[in-house]
Amino acid sequence: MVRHRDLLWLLTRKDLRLKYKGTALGFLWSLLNPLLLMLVYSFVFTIIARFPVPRYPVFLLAGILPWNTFAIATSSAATTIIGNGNLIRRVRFPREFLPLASVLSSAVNLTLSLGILLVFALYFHQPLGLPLLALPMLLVFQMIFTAGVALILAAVTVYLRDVENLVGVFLTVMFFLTPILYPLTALGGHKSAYFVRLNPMAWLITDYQAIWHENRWPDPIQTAAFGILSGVMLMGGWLLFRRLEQRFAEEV
Amino acid sequence: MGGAIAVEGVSKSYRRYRKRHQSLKEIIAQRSRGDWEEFWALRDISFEVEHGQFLGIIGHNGSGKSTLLKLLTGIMPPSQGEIRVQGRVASLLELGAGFQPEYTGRENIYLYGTLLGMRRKEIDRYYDSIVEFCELGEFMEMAVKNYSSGMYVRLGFAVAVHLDPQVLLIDEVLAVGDANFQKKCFQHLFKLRKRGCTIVLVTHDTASVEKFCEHSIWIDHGRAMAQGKSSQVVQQYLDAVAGGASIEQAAKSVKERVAERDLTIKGLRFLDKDGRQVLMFDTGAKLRIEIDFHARRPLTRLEVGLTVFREDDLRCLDLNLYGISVDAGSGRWVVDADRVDLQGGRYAVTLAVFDRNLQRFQAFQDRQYPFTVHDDYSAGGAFYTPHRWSLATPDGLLPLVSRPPDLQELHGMVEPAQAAGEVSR
Repeated sequence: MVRHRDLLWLLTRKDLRLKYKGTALGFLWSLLNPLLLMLVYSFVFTIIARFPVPRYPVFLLAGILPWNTFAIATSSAATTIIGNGNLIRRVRFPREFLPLASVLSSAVNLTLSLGILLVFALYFHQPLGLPLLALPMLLVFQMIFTAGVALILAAVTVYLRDVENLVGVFLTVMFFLTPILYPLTALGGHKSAYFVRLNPMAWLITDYQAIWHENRWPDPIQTAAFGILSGVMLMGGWLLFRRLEQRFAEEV
Repeated sequence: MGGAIAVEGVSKSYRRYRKRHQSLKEIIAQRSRGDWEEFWALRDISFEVEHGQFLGIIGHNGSGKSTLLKLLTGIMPPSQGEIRVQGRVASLLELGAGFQPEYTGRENIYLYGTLLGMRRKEIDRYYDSIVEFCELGEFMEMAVKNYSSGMYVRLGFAVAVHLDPQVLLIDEVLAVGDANFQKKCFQHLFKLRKRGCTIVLVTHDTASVEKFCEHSIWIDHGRAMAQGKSSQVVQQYLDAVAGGASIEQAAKSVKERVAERDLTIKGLRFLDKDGRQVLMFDTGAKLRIEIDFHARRPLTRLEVGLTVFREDDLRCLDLNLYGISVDAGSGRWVVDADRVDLQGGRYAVTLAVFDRNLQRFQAFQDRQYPFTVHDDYSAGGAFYTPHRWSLATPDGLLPLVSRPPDLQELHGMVEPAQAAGEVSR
């Protein structure tokens, strides 16, 4: 695998290039979707529903950007193995690089889009400070977690083709079960709060919101829990992938 | 063990799906992943290859050759047994394997190179040499989907050999390239072997196996029918093909008998000028074909058609005989051809006996009798004809003598240093 490391970069670049190929705005296109969502949701929740959240657009972007990254990475990783049957059947190389390249390219995307978030934060006079230093750690944890999920999905989809569709549905549901549009506090004592609190993506997203919107350090316990879970996810994903990989060449 | 490749008792089974369930609904409803049976593509194969040796693997299509190569490459694991391959492995499994059609030649060199495990820097270093080797310099910025199959092979081969592999696995692909490029490839393979590279060549071209590989294995229906010295293995293989010993062909001949015809073809042989049975001969050779038959009753107004097909289905020759009679019992027809001027290649004879009285075939054997024609300098084309070249001068014609490069050089058997040195690395 070490020998093949340049392959991972090449696949990642290919992934990025494929996304923005031939478009004048290039990378900006990938931002257009979250920005439009931000405009629409801001309109709905600040003007119509009057959510009591100050600087709502910043709050929203702080959650929606990492979420989108996660959603795009996992849903595109799910089809990487079945979509590359040609390679799988004919060349020996570390197959985990295919889903991992999706994760890496989404990481590049997220890093760039956090720059845009910074611009918005400054525009809305969002107080920002030292907690920003925790950002790289969050990014790393998110990528490890995403990589674990991506490996599982990519491998399972080979044997169960409807995973591809299930992922889409699941992500839509999870989007609303994660405090992205609303702050976690908005749930108050409602029973659903327990459920939302069990969702690891909620841990991650509220950490991002803490840094970007509340200018405070992420909750250490919650962050540590997410870090540990990420490690477990990656290990588990890798083991499962290794196991299922055996028959890829015959099944794709 | 010091061998580069060690294969011990390897078997491989596939699931052959009659009905395959890939959706959740089906799997839940049927409680299974589909209806499948086990299919053994390989059974109990064992062999070893030393460093710096060529191994040939021969057999029919679907015999399991390619499966074996995939196992050696590590694309899938064996179902039973063990495989050990030492060192960096490069494989050329199928035409254009690992190429992205919409990528340019240059991009594919980088993609394919890194897929095979090269570092980017290594490819940078070898890039010019790769392009020079495949002679596709002017097509490097063109998407490979516009390449011809020959160009695909060139590109793939050029990258694979620059990987400096310790083990190189090649499946058939070389057959696609033109003669010149093939020559160059073999030249390079010899160079690699000198450096200790082990090469496994899968093919059904027995001639090149005999020429290049010390040892070979003949695989049929997943089993090793023979292995050892190439000359012996190839002979056994050819004998079996001619005698119809393969299970498939045995089944076919049973069907022939069931048909209960009045005339049966017992066999067809090729004999050289000295009366020896052969399966390979040179362009321009004198050839005798003997056909043994058995008639159950006297027959009249028979038409015997002997047709030679080239392996790409080109119909090359029709040697027909009309309006003959045979007595009941066994007999033999003999066809004498003074020169067979087919160009080098693989051919097969189709034999048909038509009964004009009954308006139906008494016998029909489609391409049952293969043979190979060998020539030293196949320039292409279907046919050769004896000819002379001359230069017209005021005094008349001055005969020109053709001086082709000698065979050794042509097939890269000479030391690389002598071989013009155009393959740089």
